[in-house]
Amino acid sequence: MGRIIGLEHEYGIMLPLPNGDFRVPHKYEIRAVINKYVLRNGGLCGRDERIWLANGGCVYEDSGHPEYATPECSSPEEAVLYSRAGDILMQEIFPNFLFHKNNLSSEYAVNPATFGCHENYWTRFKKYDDEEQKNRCYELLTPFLASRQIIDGAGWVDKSGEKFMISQRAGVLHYGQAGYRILVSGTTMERPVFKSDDWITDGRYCRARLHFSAGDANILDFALFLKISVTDLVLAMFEDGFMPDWICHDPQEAFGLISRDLTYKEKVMVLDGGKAVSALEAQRFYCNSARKYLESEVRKNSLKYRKFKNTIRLWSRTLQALSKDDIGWLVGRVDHRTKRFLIECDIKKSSDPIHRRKVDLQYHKINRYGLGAKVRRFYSKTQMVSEEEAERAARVYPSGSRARIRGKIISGVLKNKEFACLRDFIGWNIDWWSVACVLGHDSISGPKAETRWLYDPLETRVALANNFLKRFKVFLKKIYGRLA
Amino acid sequence: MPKREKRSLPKDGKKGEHAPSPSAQGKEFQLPEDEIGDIVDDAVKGTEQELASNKQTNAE
Repeated sequence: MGRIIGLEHEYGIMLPLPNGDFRVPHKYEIRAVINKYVLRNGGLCGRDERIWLANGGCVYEDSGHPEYATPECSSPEEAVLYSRAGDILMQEIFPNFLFHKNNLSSEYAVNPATFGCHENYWTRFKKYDDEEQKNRCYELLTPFLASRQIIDGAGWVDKSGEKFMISQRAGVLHYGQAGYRILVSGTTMERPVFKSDDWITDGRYCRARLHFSAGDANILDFALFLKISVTDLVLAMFEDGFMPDWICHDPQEAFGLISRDLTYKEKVMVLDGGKAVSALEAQRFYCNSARKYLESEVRKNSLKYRKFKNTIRLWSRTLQALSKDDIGWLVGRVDHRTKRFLIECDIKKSSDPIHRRKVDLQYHKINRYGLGAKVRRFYSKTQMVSEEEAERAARVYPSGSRARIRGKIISGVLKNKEFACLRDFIGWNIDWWSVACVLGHDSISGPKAETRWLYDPLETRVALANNFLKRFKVFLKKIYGRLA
Repeated sequence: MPKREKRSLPKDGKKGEHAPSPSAQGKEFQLPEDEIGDIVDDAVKGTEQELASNKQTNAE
């Protein structure tokens, strides 16, 4: 069984006005549009005004941004597929709005407003309440994540239009007032690398949802796939005690300096002990360590072995291309290099630096006329997900996780014609670990008619969903009988 | 639900219609720079107001 992975995308959003101007909608407008989608039978409204979708994911408003959370995916390919489905769902839920799948606001006074692309990985730990092990995990992963931006960075043109940086998020990460060496926070007031959440135990092992918020939102499938795959592999190394013992001396500085180095070869990341390495050196080191781990620790010809072998092959090929600046490989695969290539081509036509900022912004526009969508079509053979597959993933749940049960319940309810008539009498209390229908709309404390608990992310038994739907039909008949 | 097709990983330089060899990809997919310049120019035309109005809030 693969690792459970989930992505959360916060989109930049603007509303075009009749006079040709644009404005950023208020959060209540965003919520109102999301609620309208429920009335269009697009999903079920759970707690916190989230809409739960037929594919098992959810959409909600977060601090003035629409956010899409993918269902729990059991492989990096599935995570890429459901991430692309989110772009389609956004355009369906908000038909008259403009979306940018990026991480920084174009206009800002002093600091850019930032919004995230978060990754979630279910990870195995040996003991539940071992704070030392948790902190060790964060320490060991930080140099990997700081250097990983040369693969997953989406590129950023600064306000002057003159400077290009590899990553959008790297420059805004900080740990606020706490002054921790490790970029960890449980709050939304800081901009940490990790967010500490969801530590549960299942007996022998403790499983934790590791939540990373340092990565950029990707337009190209290959960049997203490689980002998730290499992280999956490195986490497997950590779980099996094979993680290299590198610790970053100053993580915040490392993230920022690597983002500004367009050669990827300047030794700007200082480790504990004084050794300085470049981002490329760091990634090569982790890649070689992964190769040794694969040969010594993983059973040959197993599914895990074949999967990781392919990851290492693509990883080392990409690092080779980055070291030689091989645009034949990188353009259409790595977002920041593709964006820089487009800007370099554009510079030959226009010397206006504001033009470069426009290219930066348009690259992330996700409707079919956006530059990002055009890049995907031109380099379609390096993309993993077609439009038809993404469209299907917007409606169909994955099969390798509890999202299958949640998605099946939601799909079954939405197709039920009696429910459509009785919608006003039924509320929903839905979360990642439970689905409950409630008589009336008090979803917190109202009497729950039916509940399905989904504590185990790996639960896939369809019978659980079928039982729920059978009892739900009986429940509807009872309500109908009372009203008739 | 129809049976899901087994998804294969993108393999470069080996086999399958999604993965021509790297050098072929370099030649086949590298659009002439003039053509890319035109495409980019077309995409950013008239987007001054969009750039100026992009004042997003902090999130997460």
